Amino acid sequence: MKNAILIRQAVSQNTLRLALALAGAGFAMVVIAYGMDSVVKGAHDVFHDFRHAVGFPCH
Amino acid sequence: MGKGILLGALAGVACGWLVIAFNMFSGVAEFENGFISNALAFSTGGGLFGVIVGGLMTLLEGRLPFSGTLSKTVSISVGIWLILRLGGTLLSMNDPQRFHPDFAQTLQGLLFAVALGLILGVLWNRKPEGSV
Repeated sequence: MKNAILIRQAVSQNTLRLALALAGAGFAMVVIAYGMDSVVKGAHDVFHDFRHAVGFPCH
Repeated sequence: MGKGILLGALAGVACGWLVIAFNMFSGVAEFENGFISNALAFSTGGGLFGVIVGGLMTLLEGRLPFSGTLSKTVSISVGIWLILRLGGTLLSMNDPQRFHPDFAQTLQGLLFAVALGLILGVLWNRKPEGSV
């Protein structure tokens, strides 16, 4: 019983870590995809060609 | 957890370089930055996209209504790309002068998402060397 609880805790901790990593990566991808200079200075220019090449609208 | 993120990053970076090579032939997007700058940008952008797809594959692998790994990775990759593209469409509707849509670039982007899903699916199915 104790082992089952420990395994469940470990699994949920891994899921939480993965969810946090995904949220961070997702936010970074949104900044890149839309070139949000207000969030990260220079994001627009650095990823300008990438944005066009993968089909996200840009100026 | 590590498998999804690592394989996703690998597939994403590979796919980023693939897009650079493909765009040289298609000429769909006129690059303004230099090769080295773009190599870094496409690696970062593709890698991040791949990490999201790989991570979601880890979370959703057993819950998606498909049996094959390739169909799962492609559907996740295309799904995320479509969500981001939908956001782009909203930006275009809000400010069409600045965010003007381009059909050829959109099509190339969709191919990028499919290719990323395929590469990740192939890597996902690959057994480690030495295993039976």
